[in-house]
Amino acid sequence: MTQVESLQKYYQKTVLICKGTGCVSSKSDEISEEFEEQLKNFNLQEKIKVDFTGCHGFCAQGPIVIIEPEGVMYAQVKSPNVKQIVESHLKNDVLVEDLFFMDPKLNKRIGNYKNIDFYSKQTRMILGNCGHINPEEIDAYMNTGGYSGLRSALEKKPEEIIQIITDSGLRGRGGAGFSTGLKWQFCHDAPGSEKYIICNADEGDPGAFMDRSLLEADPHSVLEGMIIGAYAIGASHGIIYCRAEYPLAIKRFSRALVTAKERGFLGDNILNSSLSLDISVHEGAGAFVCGEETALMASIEGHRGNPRTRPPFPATSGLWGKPTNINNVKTWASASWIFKNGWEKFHGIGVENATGTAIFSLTGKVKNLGLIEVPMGTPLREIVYEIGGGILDDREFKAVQTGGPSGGCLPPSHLDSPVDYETMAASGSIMGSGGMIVLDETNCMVKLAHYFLTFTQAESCGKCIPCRIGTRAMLLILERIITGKGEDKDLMLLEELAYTVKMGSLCALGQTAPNPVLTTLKYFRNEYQSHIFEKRCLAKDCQDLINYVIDESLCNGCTICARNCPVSAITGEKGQVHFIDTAVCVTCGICHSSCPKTAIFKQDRPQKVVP
Amino acid sequence: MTKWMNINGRRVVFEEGETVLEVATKAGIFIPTLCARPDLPSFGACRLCIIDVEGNRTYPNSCTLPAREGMVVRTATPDLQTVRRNVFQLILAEHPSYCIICKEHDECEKVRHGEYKAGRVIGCFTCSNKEICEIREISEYLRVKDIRYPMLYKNLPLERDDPFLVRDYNLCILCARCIRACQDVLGYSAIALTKRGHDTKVGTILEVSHLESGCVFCGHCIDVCPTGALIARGSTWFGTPDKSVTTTCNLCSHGCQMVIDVKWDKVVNVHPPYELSARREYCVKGRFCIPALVNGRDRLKYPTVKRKVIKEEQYPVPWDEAITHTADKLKGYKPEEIGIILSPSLTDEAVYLLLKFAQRVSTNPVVFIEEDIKNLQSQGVKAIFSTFNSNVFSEFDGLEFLILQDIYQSNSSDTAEVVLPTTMFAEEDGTKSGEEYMKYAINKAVEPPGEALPSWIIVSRLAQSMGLDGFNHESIENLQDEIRNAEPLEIPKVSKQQLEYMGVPIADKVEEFRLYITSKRAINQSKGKGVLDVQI
Repeated sequence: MTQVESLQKYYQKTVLICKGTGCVSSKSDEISEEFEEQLKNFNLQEKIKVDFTGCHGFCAQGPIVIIEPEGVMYAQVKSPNVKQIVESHLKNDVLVEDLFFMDPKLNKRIGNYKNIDFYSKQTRMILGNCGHINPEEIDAYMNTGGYSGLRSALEKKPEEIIQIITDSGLRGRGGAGFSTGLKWQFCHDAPGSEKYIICNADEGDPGAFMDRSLLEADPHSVLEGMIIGAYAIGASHGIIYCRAEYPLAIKRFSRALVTAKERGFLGDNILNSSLSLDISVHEGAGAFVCGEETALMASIEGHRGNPRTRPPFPATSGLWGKPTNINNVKTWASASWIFKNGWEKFHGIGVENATGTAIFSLTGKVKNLGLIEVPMGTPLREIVYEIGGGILDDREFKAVQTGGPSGGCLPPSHLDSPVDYETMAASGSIMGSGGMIVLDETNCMVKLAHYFLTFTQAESCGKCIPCRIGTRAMLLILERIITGKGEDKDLMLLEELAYTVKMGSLCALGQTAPNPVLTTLKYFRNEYQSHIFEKRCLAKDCQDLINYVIDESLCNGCTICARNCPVSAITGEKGQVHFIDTAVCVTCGICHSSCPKTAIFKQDRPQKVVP
Repeated sequence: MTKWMNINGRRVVFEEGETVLEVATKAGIFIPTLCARPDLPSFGACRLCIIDVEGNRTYPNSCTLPAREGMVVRTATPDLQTVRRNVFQLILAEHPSYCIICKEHDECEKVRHGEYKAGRVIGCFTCSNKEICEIREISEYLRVKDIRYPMLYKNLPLERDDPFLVRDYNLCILCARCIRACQDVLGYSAIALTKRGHDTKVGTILEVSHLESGCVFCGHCIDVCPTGALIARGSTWFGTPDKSVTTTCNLCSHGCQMVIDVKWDKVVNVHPPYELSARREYCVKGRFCIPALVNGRDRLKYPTVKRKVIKEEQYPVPWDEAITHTADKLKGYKPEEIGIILSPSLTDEAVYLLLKFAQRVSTNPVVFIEEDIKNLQSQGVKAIFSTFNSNVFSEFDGLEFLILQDIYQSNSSDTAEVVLPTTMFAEEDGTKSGEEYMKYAINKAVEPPGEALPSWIIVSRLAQSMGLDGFNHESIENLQDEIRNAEPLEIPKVSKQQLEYMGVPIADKVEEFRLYITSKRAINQSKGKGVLDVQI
């Protein structure tokens, strides 16, 4: 019985308001209060319950309100809309079509979320509860079958549990894709009575929010996985390392810890078994590198977040020198799913070497942005065109960047290749923790590589030389290229440096930092060459290589561009065609975006002829 | 059971717990490294000691990798050397290393032996660390002749805010040796890596001064630094020392072994021997104050005797005259009228001889603290032979004849009738008893100033002049033989916190030390601690 079904016994309808971080920041709290008030006004508070859920993964459409049982989804609800929804939908049963989600692909409004491509094309397993249950109520989770997996696991021997995880084919969801069963086995076999399990929730990739979303929407599934893991490994302490920038996730997980302890899922002799476990929350201090497991443990120990080389692996000598097992949030949640639904079912999803599902945060130039869950091995084309709804403004697809700053860019020729660990690695990218950025023809790939390298360069811990100095040297060369100062030898130097950083760096951050450069060099070398040899940006994206020009046939002399120009480079009388002085212009692009007639276009900057 | 591994095709024996770097070093296989050091915990930052381990996808650090039975390792494959050379070039790209890649490098080395003093280090020829630079050694090994990567001078400010060190982090390669010595070996944690990414640097917490961050100025960071980023303020720019003498610090009874660098017969630097440089705690006095203390301008150089010509004044006299004068006059006093004052900082030989001398000429106990000197007054002492200076003498009623053996001019030089210049420990040979019955060798590093003589010679000549037998030792070895057969000596100990040497306050003679003490006291006061509680 789902929560919704159980609630329907007492209430005719339920209003589920999303209270994930995205929707909260677009004021879903206010909407919640407004609903309570409007229901009172219409005297419906006895019949209709207002509840909240975690993230739906469709944050661009937030705040999202879902009315169950009919499954109607209202998108981008503002507080003045609430009265309309209550009066029309809840009182008179007339759906408010104006507030339905507007499907950009079909160009029509869709009422039921089950009919929206973004949801219907997904396979939501790990995210199954997200957006459907109240994350702060343990009963809501238990009504969906929660903690039944733990009960069955505790009846088995630890070795059997590890065997089940191995059989399911689950691989680490943090990005490296190491077999979870094997990892648990190593830690289980390691000598020592005191062992630790750690949940890595230090999600740092720009634009990625899978872990946050899961912790906010379904914290108990992660917790249950951790308890099962602790039993299998023999750990008596658990730590969740969550970045401090996720206050809501920390709050909800902490609450889950308290309620789970009340129900006897934590503490001494859990469910009358031999397992005693305590889990605490450790807040990270905002360093990207602390997502690396050795740096993470150093950080918990109170040191600077410096990675170290392995061996010794954490499984034998981890936190405080004790055997430690670190898994990603999604891995732990997958473990609890396996015990709830059976490993056969998990193994049946996905492809041979990658079972289960992958969760991505889909961003960039696609129509539908958000958190998606698809079976492993789903082709990129399906993700971009079916779930993502295609490229914004129906422009040409250029590349997809996966794996965050350590990942790579895949060109259109890879659109039909399946998304799994080996295929991604073979094409030069990585699965990573799940960032997926779609790029179109207006994106310059050199600039993209430069952007990601800026990030890794700044987030390097600064310990080892290839990463600290090598990424900076690469960045300087890229900077030179995108500003039109590239030299003939630069491509060779970049490749050499990329190899040095890759082979020379101490931890995965440095070893993968050159990936954006290497893959763009591999698939988009012509863009580099045009920057260096022709001083031309093919995508017209690099500020220093373009000029803005006003199309005389379109300009109506509205003066908006001239008024907005920060350097007063635009001249022209009202009603007359305007002119941009390229000598003054700093190519900021404000005129381009503010022109109501789209009369301003980009042009390659003519090169100075050196006599 | 012996364990074996394979390095470069050679079977090499190892012991459990050793790293591959240690095993290779023992087997005589060179692996370049800038951050590893045998006396520091492994860190693994420089990435020069990378090795190719069979079965490994990446290149691990040999300095952190524990050796394993049957491990197959190669240390210098062409690919490894390429990565190594590129990594090293990256180091050079952010280290002022123009001299290393300069076309004129070899010619320049022939002409310029030492380094030139400069406000900012812009290349090896202006770096005071030139002669012992580890970067230069590795650049020779890797044969780097060129830096292809974008170069950067970080332009960080020179840190010259404390009395003893100059820190130029533009030269720093962030090997973190200084941090490991400070944090892991000595336990002070005065410095750490701060900031992140490319801005990472060595610094103090919240960028407070080193005086406030808990630094005790033991100088170990300087000793382990592979570059010229950390330099001892007063001891730099002298170039290669003429000689280096290993001896024992005698400023307290701790018995620290130290190396005294000598140039132009002056003490220019004091530092721990290489093998001890990260293992033993040195104090600010021993590490930084000795050159100034030994080289002081107002050291006593010639024996003087007080004579009345126009008014009563000290006049320099030859040693023989000073000794004869003293002996003649001392003979005129009864044994109960003579007091002998011993300085705990004297060498064992001098102490032995002085005690022997005291037994023969005096019935009073030999004293070494100020309260006991005052007691001598009540015993009716009229003549004193003192081996250190004390303020008590000017208030000593009934004192007729004061013989002062001293190292520096002082107020008591006026009270004394005879002033005899003596040597400091850097200027004499001998033995020193430290704590726990340990005996350390004191070796002569420089010549004493003027005619100053070691204390034992002064005592021996005085005793002989007074006609006493048993003082005619021809050399210090003679004396040492005699001591070996004699009863063991009870020698008073000097604590580490002692701020004086032979009655001379160190702060009076070493300006940097005075600054250190006063600023430490001010900081203690502002933190509400006892003002005088300055930890040395």
